[in-house]
Amino acid sequence: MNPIQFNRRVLLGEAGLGFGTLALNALLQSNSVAHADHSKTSHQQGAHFPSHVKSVIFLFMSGGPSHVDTFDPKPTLTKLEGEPVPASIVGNVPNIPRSGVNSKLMASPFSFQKYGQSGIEVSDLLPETAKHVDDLCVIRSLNHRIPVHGPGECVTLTGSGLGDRPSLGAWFTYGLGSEAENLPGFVVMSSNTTGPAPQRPGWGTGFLPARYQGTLIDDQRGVPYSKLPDLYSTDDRRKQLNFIHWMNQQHLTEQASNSELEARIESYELGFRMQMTAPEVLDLTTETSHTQQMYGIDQKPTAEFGRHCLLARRLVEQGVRFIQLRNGGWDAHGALKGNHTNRAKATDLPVAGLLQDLKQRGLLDQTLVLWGGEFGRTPTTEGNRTGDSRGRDHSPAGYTMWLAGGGVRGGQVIGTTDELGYVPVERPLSPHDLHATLLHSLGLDQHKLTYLHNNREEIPTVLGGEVIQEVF
Amino acid sequence: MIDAVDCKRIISSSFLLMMISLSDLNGAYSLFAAEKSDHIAEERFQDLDLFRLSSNSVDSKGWLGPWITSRILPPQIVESPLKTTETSRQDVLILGTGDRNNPLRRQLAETFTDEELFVGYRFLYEPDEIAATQTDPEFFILWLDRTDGSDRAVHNSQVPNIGVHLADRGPSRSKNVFMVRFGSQQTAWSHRELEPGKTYHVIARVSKEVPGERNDYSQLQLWVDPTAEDADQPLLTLNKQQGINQIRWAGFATGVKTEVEDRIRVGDLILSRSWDDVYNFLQSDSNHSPGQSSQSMPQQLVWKEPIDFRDDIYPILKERCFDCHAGEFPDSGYRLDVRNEFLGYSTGEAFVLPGNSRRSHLIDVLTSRADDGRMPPDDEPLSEIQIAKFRAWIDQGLAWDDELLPAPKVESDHWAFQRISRPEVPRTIPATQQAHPIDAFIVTRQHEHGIQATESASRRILIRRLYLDLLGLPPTIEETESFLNDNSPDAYDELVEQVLDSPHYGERMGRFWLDLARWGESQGFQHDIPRPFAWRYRDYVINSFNNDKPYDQFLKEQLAGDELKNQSDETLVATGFLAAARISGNQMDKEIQRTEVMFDIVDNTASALLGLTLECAQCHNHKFEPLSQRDYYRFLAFFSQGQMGNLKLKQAEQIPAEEIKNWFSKSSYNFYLSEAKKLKINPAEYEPHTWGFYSPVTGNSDIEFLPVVNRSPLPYSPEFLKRQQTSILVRGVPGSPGLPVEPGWPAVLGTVPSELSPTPRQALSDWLSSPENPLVARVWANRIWQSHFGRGIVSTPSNFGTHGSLPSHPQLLDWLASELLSNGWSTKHLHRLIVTSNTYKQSSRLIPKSLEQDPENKYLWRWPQRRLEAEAIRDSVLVATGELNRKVGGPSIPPQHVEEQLRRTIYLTQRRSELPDVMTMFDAPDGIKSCSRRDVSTVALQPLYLLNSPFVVSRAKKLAELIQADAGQERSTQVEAVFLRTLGREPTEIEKRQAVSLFSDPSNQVDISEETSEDMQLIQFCHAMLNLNEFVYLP
Repeated sequence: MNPIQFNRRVLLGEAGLGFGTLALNALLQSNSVAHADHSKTSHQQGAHFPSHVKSVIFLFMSGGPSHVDTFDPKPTLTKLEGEPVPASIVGNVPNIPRSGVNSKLMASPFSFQKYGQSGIEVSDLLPETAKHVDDLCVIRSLNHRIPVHGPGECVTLTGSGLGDRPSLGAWFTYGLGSEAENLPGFVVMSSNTTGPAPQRPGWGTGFLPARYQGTLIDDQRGVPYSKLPDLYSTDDRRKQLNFIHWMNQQHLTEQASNSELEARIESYELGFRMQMTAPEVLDLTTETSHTQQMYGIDQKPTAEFGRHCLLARRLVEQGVRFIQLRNGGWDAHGALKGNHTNRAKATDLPVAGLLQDLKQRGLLDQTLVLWGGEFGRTPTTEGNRTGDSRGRDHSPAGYTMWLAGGGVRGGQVIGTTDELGYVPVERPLSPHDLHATLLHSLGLDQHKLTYLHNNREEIPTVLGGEVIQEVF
Repeated sequence: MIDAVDCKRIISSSFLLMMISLSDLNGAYSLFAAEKSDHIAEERFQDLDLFRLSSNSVDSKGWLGPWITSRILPPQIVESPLKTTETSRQDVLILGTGDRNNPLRRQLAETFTDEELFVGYRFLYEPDEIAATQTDPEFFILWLDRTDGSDRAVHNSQVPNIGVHLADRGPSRSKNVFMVRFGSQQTAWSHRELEPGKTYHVIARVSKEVPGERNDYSQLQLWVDPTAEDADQPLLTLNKQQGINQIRWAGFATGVKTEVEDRIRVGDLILSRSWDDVYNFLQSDSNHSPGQSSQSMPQQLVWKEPIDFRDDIYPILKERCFDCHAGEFPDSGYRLDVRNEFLGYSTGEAFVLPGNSRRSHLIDVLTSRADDGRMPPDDEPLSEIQIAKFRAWIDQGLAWDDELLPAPKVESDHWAFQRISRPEVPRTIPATQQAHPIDAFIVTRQHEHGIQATESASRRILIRRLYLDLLGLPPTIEETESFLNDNSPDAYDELVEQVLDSPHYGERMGRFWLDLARWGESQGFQHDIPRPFAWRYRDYVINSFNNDKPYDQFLKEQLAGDELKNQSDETLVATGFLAAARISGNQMDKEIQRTEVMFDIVDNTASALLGLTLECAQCHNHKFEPLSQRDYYRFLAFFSQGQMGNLKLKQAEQIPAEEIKNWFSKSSYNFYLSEAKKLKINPAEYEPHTWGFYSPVTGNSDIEFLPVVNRSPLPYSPEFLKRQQTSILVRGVPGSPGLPVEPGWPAVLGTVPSELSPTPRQALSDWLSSPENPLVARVWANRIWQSHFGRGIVSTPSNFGTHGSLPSHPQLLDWLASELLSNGWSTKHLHRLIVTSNTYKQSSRLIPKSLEQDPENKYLWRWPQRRLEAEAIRDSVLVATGELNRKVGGPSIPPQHVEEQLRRTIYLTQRRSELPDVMTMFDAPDGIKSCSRRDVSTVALQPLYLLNSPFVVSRAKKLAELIQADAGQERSTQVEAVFLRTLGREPTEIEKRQAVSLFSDPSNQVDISEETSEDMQLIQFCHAMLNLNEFVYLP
């Protein structure tokens, strides 16, 4: 047969194959993806100022991990166990529904210890993460006003509670493209999906073109539909693709110029490369057993999140721009002690493994890791439960997240909440500030990253947000 | 100029002014001199050791602890320019750092949470050389916060900032002006530019619109260098913002724009409970001695004579107001050349209360001393006499001269708003061509532009095109063969009839309608709880198209199915069009929840049926269409007495509750059940019902409304709905009703009879389908055209307004619309006309010269090939393998049952957050907004789906089985058979050679897997064919 062999370099070099440059540009610019309407992009991809940080790993703990039980110790809370909230504190709490100021205070069932050189306190829920505390920049003063999961998740991941704007990951892939030629530039994985449902806008594109959306990957199955069916060998598939390509070229010849058809032809090659690369990347058996243990893949409770964390590192190695790991089930309205013990057990070791692994491979500097949920939890018990059945309600008025890697100055705490953990009393910060900080870390100027939509220059932080300078 | 007569007619009355001023203050603050006890904290910066004090106790000036200075760059104490020969005075000098800095801050003795706080300070920006030559962006603020914010902190989100900044928008853009803000996203810019070298007294009021310790400071007002009488005349007001709820710290901050060269002098800081206290404190420190009023009380003139509109008012309006406030699209959005508009007719927002000038907003804006509030803006204020005349005019009843300024007729010469008149079919085409009217229009335009068109497509292509286009399914081999063998002259026309009679036509055309209706089988938003019986509407749509239900009737049933005399189960199901709106499950504010549904219904109905962007008039009069805010809310009034919900059906069969679980994914069904349980609803007890829209006020009274399952459902109360009176929402905000309105359509489209009840939505649909309606027939004819050619004659199918695209063939569009009207609104009639034209039957061959002349193919010189929609791709695969279950209608199929019921894609469950993969990958809409035309995107995940999804692999296996059975073991015979089944044609010789060479042993030996007895290579070949561009393109 007429062997129809080509690869991207050949195509790039030889316009003679009849590929419209438009179609090619659309595909190449945006990591494996093209869109018929590529004229709307009003931004030239690339950083606005130099940065050695290349990727973001967002460890999104959905449901709302309790800050007063993890990274924000409150001895006063222990002292006032079972008491009503003092009037002096009640007055500080913004008037948001379900802030629980009329309930009784609940001491943390966990104890705190100082760790590392920095001596930052972490609860005994997270002993493994605590070992890396000198790499963490703990922000104890986050706050917003949305006490509901769905909109809260949307505000954390898109900046707007309505979920009608592009997700952070979409802005990053739009702004910087991706260095992963054979993988999606924005990858999402979801573990322990109990509790509030994942919010699509969290990896959606809003008004940005569809090609910037996050790809939801299953750690067992990989990129959607990337598993070569059993009846194929790779050679079979290559031959098949060559035939498809040849037929499509014949078809194109009759049509002459048609950038849409050309883009579709090219998408088969890109899809193939993605398919070839993805299983390799997702195949964790090539990792040493030591590495696997480091992430807890060998133990049942930590296996799932451990795989996701290890995959995150492998995706970073491939140049994937934005990796979002969603871990559900932190919504401890009741039985907080049991709930958080389980959630922590499932995630602590994997997170620590990820930090350690990134560090020892010299990847931590170029990877910004972010940990936290859509809000924290109230210092009070929710309702009238007693004993270990007690839990806490949602607290957007004050909560903790941490950053690591990516040029972040570790071993520091930013912001303080009041003595009970209700509201920030020092350096209050919003999710939008965090977004601005993330963009800044990767060399993007939040005011210059624009997209023309409905005749309006949209920016990622249109609802506010300023770079938290002291993070770096 | 005041002439002698005028002077006599004027009396002065300073007493009156006092009365007005006091009553206008709402008791918030007083004009009288403040008591010292109003003081909260003060600082004159006169102590030389100021920053060295380390006391942590409360001091007599109202502070706790010392001033805290920044380690990044602390302020300095310098001599003040206010120094006199008698007194030595000093200022604090703050220098810029080119970055965030908090040079100076201090804690209050007590946390402040009262309703309002006044703050004042004195400052001066020293002149520098750069600023003299160019605009040098500046930034300097006083902030009030709960926290001290550290040396570098950003007192940004929700924190009151009072100072100067470079305006990034509005009339002051690119100027350094005074401003107030709660964080950077909520700034109010003044017009007052910062002048270096000038000493300013800045006063601000921070207040809570809803008092309460834990409520937000939500309002900021600003005064710059006010006089003693300016307490009620702020320069700027910023309302309804999200702010902090308590104030414990005050301080100054510089920013990125405050460069190292910048030198700012600050003195005299005060926080107080009264404006006068702040004012006096600042005054007493300047060259003015305290208590000495800078100006005497201004006197207010009163016009005592009767007002003559033509002589007294009109000239002022004309000279001072009409530049921005007259004509159809006034720059300001508000017009004052229409009497009604003073009363808020179109916007709901009244400027004048006749008989009461004191409560008339118009007088406030004329007399305001605020830069951003006074009219006319950027200009001299009206004279005292002119203002006095305006007061008198209002107090005397707002007389008008209708001859001088007649009430305007709302009219437009925009093409789409003109009545449709049937154009003559052009006769200028060459006599050789059979004159199909459509071709006559098309060829005429081509001739005008000298464009050459292609020849007809082959019959093989024609049948494939016709099937895919009208049915969304390719023809079977038998169907193709039978057409090719029919040599009768009317073979094609008969084929057209056959295709239009197919029950699959409704599934194809119906899907486009569902796109427009933003239909889905769930409530949407966060919880997205299933709406189990929404599928009945999908079937209603399919059946309506299959029966060629007249389009006017189709609309009437969907808009007013509950109001009709001959209401039936079918018409109730039809209201699913209105009820396709999403509704939030966790919106606790029921007014907002209801209003959002109404907005959705109005926007969607106007867009889908009228092709109007009415949604732009939700908050203000449309900026470029002759559509007012009043039009929007009158349209909304058609729907405001109704509600979406489960409506009982009379004839439908009872469906056992356990059946419903087969319609949704397991998890979504379980979620639905658990939510139902929380509401103590048992869906199993429901009688047969549909998801529809019903008004107990205007709809038939025998309709039963069953409970709705949602996290926090909208309560259903006929009494409440009966009381619903629609008002214009001022600036589109729920909870701020303006003038009440009655139901009506946009005034520009025709007069609304005074009486539309008792069934207003029926009246709406009657109007929609009346021959006078200029839009409905055009919009629908254009959508039908678009369904065939991929692009409408108007390429913005849901925007026929002045900013929509112009029609490429206006005459043809009107002719098609006329055909629709004169043929009983038959949709199939239009399809028939279009698909029998030569224009439709053209090949897609390229003519280089024509391509050069018309690269977009606007004049249709060739057939526009395009990729099939998600549904048509998946359905085509099922036809190729002969597996398609052609059953029409019924409940939807969830993912777990797809493989056992290989139904058309339109029947796959459409829970909005859980759409089938094939739909999300191939650009199907998400059921949130009306979709009038699908995008075609090309992404690498699409080939992965077609190459690797178990669904497509199974189809390839099935196809291979069929081929083996039909075509035997010979490779070349197999190849031919696969080509026929997938592409509807035989392979060319070279294609056949290429295909055969794919097989490892081209010598016709079959490689059968020993384990499965599957012919792997044949499967792979079949699979390849399902991936070809030719397979997924409409030829």
